[in-house]
Amino acid sequence: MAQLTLPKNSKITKGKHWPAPAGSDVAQVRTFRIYRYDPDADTGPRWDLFDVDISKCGPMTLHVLIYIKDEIDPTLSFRRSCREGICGSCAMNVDGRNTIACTKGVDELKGSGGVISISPLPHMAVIKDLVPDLSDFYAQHAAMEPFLRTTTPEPQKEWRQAPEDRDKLDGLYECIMCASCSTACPSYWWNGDKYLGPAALLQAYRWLIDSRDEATGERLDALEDPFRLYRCHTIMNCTQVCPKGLNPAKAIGEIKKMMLERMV
Amino acid sequence: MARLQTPRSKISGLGSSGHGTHHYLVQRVSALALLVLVPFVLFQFLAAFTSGYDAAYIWVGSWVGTLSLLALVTAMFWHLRLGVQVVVEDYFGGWLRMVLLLISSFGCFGLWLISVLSILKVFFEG
Repeated sequence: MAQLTLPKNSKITKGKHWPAPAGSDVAQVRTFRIYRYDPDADTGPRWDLFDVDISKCGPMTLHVLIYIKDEIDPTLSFRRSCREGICGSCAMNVDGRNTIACTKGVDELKGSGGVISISPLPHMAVIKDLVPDLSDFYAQHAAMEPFLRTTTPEPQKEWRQAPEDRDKLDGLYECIMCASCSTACPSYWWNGDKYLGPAALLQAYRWLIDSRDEATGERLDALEDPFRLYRCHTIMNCTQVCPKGLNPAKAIGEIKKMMLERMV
Repeated sequence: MARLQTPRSKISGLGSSGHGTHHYLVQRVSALALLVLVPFVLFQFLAAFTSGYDAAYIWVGSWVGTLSLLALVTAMFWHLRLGVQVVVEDYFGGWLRMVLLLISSFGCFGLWLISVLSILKVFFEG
């Protein structure tokens, strides 16, 4: 259900300002406003300001965060792993748009009033600072049973697939499950407990369209629901923010077409 | 007390309800019908209305007027009911969702009934 006001103790207050150290190149200093929340502290969330000399760190937003953690405030928490857009760990809201910090260049960030905001993925419970709780998101992915389901005895070699059928999986299998799309979707914000979200539905379509899978009917049965699938209103935020350039909205549209195809 | 539940159990919930596609289909079919009916009725009605009240009354009471108006109000209130359901499901939960869905259902049905009876009254009296 839509909640239009922040719950008690969730209002973000003004936090600490960390000025750039003396000797920094003033022309290279950019200000980052970063969401901070510590569950062990009695205070609510706050915005901390960090003035960073970007000539001292790498070109990407993740480099800035690592620089802040290493050189300014070691208590800053965020997820990161591959630093090359493969693992999806560093997904967060940068400059007002969900993305993965490792492939988002600082030079691409316009900021607002000279300040670049970085916050956790929207509308998710926050564990600490920029680390959201993705337990439900992963459960939605698992519920899609993202593996080949067959009843035919397994062949001695591999399950065969025509090249043109294999081509249908392009644009679907590349999802890195960063959750940028689902957490950019207003329908997912309001009904994330029932609506599966663009990432899980993209994964569902990846298996629905796989010519080797023998559970297409059962998979469609599991999605036949006004909330699970039909909460998608083609808002297209998912497609707009996907850092891998995928199109979950189109995949959801294709699932709806399959639903109609078996009904009409 | 907070309910101890695994994320998978929470997401699976009560399972799939087994419907949704019919709603999706009817909403689009009624939208297509309105795309044709609204301009047709507006054009016909305005053409009759510019000739005065009596001409408009005669048009409503004609076979073409009655049938097109009945089709229009049926498609319109059906489409309205389905659209309001989507909005209510989007933004409201729990008992409020149930109450609003009931109000919108009875409201749309009531308005449709009044419209149909009014059109038929003109048809049989005209």
